[in-house]
Amino acid sequence: MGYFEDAQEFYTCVGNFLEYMNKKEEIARKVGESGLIIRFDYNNPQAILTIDAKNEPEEGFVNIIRGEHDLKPDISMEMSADTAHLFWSGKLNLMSAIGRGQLKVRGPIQKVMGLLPAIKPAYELYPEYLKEAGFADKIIK
Amino acid sequence: MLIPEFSSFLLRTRIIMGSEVLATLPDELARLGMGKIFIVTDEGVSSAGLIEYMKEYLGEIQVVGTFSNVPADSPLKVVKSLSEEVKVSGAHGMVAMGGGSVIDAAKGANIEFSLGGSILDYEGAGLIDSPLKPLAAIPTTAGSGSEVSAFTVIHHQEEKSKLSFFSPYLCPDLAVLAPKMTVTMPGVLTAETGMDALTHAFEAYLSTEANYITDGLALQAIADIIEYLPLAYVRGVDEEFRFRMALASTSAGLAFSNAFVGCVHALAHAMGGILGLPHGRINGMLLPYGLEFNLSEVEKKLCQAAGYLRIEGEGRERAINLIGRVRSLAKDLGFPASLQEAGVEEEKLQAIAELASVDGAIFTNPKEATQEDLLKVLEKAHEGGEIDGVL
Ligand SMILES: [Fe+2]
Repeated sequence: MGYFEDAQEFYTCVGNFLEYMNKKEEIARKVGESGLIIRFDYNNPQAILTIDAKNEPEEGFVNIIRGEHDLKPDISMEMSADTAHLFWSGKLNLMSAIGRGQLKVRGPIQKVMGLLPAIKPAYELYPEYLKEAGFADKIIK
Repeated sequence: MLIPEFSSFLLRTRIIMGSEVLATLPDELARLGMGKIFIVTDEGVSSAGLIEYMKEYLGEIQVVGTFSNVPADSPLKVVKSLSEEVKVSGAHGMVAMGGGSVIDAAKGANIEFSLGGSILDYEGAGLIDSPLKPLAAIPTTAGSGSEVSAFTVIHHQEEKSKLSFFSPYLCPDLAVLAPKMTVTMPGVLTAETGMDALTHAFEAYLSTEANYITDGLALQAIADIIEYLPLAYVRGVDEEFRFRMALASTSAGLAFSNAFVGCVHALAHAMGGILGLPHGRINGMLLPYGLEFNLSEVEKKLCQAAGYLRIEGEGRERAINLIGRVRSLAKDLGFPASLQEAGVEEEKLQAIAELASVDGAIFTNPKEATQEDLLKVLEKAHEGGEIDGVL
């Protein structure tokens, strides 16, 4: 059994967390400036989240899209929902995950790596956020 | 022993090695379904007469095409025209004979040759999920490890960027290690590719992804390169020295294809992009300082390697002695004693550190390395400071 019951729960945790971070200037500004469209395809449960830093944001620094859309991503990544949970918990080494086949990346991977220092503070915010949102049981110690 | 949660080691490439190994090529290639081959090489290799030499051994195998001008860094344009030529040649597969750039170019071209479409559609990791057409690699340098690795890097010169590809199916089907193939390598190339191999071995050995199997391969490679690289450098005609280097370089290639590399490669990738210096030369200059930076995290492992080389001392001192040995090796091989001596301007260091801090290689470095840390490593390498364990 994975961390998430269904897509609904995944969107509530990870999707809402992305929106929460979109308001944090110190994290989101750099991502916004990248001008990239980064698409994440998750499985178990199936879900799609896309960070659109190319088009004008409705609020915050980027647009966060749930589910299918027609935008052409610059980079797309495929992983399980659990892998995403580990990532935002700061417990996933990107290179190791690639080596283990837990993560597929399409596109210029260096550009994603370039954003990692900017989003690093998110790893500390994620457990705090989960707690506030009533998902303390999902926090990885 | 600490039991990892998960670890893996991929075996795909058949490696054949020895003085008479070329005589078995017809059988080896036929077994891979390569009755008709396309040869990929560069000008240096073909003018050294190595292609003609190999052809004498091919027997029934038919050569239906040759591409003999792959330049350094495997440019995208060249990879594209290579794949077009291979497609119309009627070849069953390619034989790449050369250094890292030649083998990488053949791996890149094999993507389009096998899967159709554009190589650009496969940029990234894990996107090639079926076997490609057969590929045999005959390295003529002892350094890149590309003959057994799951990576290929292609340079997009117009966009000044590099395209990275990672998939188990990028490992060549056959690697041929024959001492004759490297005896004609010039001294500088011997030194630079050899230090690249030593960096692969050290960084794989100390990587966060190292395991029992990669450790064995990496340790043996470290010991052999430190012993035989200076010999191969001064007496390049000696086939035994060359053969040892070929084996060690391939072992290091297997180790780092599985365990990845670390901060020295991150810095080398950044510096190569910004300054255009040869990859092996940069690694040779930076390796001692990268090791010194990691020392606090990997002292025990460095001591273990020092033991293999019968280097004296206890604990930290012994590890420092090993790093000192690496530095004196670089000096003996004619590497500049500092980045300054190599003509690297101090003003460039900041930009190099910034780029290196987000290079993929940094994520498997044993010690966390921030941009400031990397700048310190560069600054010490720039002045050519003594290895004293302070970094
Ligand atoms: Fe290298």
